[in-house]
Amino acid sequence: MRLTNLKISNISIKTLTVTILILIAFASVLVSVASGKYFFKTAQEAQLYSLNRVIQVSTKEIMQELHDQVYSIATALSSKGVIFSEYKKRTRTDDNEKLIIALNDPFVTGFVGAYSVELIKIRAYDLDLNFVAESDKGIKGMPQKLPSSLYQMAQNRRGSERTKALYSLWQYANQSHYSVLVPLGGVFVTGYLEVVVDPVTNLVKLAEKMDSPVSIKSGMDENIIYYLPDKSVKNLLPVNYILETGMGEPAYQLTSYEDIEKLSEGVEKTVFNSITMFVGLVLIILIISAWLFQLFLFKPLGLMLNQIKIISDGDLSRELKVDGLSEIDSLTVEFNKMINEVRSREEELKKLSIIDELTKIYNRRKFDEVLKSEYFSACRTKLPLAVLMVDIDYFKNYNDTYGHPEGDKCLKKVAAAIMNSVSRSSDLVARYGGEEFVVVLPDISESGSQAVARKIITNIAELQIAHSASKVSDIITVSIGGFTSVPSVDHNPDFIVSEADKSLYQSKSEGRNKFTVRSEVNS
Amino acid sequence: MKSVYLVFSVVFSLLLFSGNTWAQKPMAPEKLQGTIRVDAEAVVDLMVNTPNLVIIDTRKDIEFGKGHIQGAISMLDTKMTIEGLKKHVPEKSTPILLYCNGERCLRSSRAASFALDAGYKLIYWFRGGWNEWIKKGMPISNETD
Repeated sequence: MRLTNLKISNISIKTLTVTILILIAFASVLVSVASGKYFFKTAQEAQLYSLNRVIQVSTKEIMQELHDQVYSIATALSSKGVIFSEYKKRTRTDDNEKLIIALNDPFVTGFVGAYSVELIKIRAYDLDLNFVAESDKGIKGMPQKLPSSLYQMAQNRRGSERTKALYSLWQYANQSHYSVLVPLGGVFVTGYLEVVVDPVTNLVKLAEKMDSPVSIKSGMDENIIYYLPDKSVKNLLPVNYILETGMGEPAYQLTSYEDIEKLSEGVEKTVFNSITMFVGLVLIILIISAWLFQLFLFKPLGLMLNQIKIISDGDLSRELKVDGLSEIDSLTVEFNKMINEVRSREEELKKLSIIDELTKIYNRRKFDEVLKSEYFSACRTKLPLAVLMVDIDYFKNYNDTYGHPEGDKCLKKVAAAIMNSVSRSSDLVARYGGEEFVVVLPDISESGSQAVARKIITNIAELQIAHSASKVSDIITVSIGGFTSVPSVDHNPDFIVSEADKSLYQSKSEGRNKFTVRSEVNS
Repeated sequence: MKSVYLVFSVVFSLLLFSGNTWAQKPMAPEKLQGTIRVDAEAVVDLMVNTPNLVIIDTRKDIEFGKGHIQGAISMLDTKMTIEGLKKHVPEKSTPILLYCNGERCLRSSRAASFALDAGYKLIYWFRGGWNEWIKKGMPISNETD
């Protein structure tokens, strides 16, 4: 469709309504899909948040378990056995060799709980937290001093505070370790023992707790990988948690890989069900709307339009018959009122076109019409037809003497008198023009015609309208010429008129105020 | 409909009742007349500064075996006798420190009352007990002798 053709009048209400309904359907689908996506995203974010919390809590649990184990080992090693006794002896002898052997002992002979932690170093410090000795066993190259996070906590402690165990996650050279510092000699502190473990062994349990693949990387450098899942984590959603050292540095980046499809399955199902229900409901409502529109608007409008077309094509006899809602009903009623009005006006107009305005009798047009119809009817029935031409004598003089208003009054009275002179419904009286009248008398004999003519003259004479300027009388008189014949198709209606006219001429030439009725036989 | 309400109210009352039962689980008294209540830090100070202090662990033997306060002796409250006490603490003026698992444990308070009745004059009561000791990271002893 070209844009120039796009006029409002080219668009039907039905097209517009259906378009709107389709747009509503389209919008509802769009809205539900968009809100579904939004809901899905929100649900995923909520799930991700929950997973973040789960990994955080699980990691803290593992670290608490690790702490309990290391604390238990450290107190066991510090309170009895060779380490404490060698440490005590060493303070007397300044000889670290036996102490180092004692510190190596747990690596060599094992200890309670050895299976659950990865022991990497055992170190001894004096009361002032100065390094004394460390085990040869375990990892090498650790700086020979108390980790700074522990040192900060341990220094300046007094009294009973010094007996409390301290613990911290710490790192050096991108390697993280977990240490517990306990007093040597128990309540009677003579020095300190630090037990260092590698937390990765314990953090691996995260996979079991989370029930999903887990990776452990250095918090400082992602390329340092401690643990990777044994299966592919492609298409899985990584959930990260950074485990920090006591100094607030990132020690480990723990990642749990969650099966997002499995997580999304329920959400997707809910979203799909909600969308389907919503869209279905909207579509059902739209279909019902379309049906209601069709039933109560389009159908009555279509009926109305068809009937109006028939009426406007000229069949004014019809009435609009449409059942519908209140507006349709009002429209029908009002249209019918209008049609009635048009109909009555048309009738009036029709009447006006055949009535002479002054005398209120038929005019020349009606006369021609009736004469023609009666003429051809008489042709078929072979019945006689008479036409009388009536002319007021010296009417020009009357007008000149009494004036035109009086002339008009006279014409009215004469017309009424002629009307009173005919009695049959088929008889027609018309004003032929000026002061001339004409009478059509179907199915009448010559003598009958003469009787009518006579009656006309008598009736007009009885009017007693003074006419001083008349040369035949002192009142208004008329001359009548008539012609009676059985019409023939060889002639036409004009023939009978012209013959009547000849009779009138005869009446006039014979002195007026008289009638001459001829018939075809004697003409 | 009425029966639903009935069932609901019965279940609710049961839950409420059971909740109260949990809440009513025995708690050690806040104060014990005639004893001095101490916390973990005070215990350490006492141990360091009072050489003749006798520490009595009133928990079960198996709990004692897993770890206890350094130098404590094991004596279950229910098995406590005047003779048994006298064996470990001959002098009535000797300070005694009693503890058990913690505030949900009544053993140490009972034992303290017993010792008071037995005529001991200086009794320290460590109400927080083993739970507080562990929670604060105090040194654990496994010595059995």
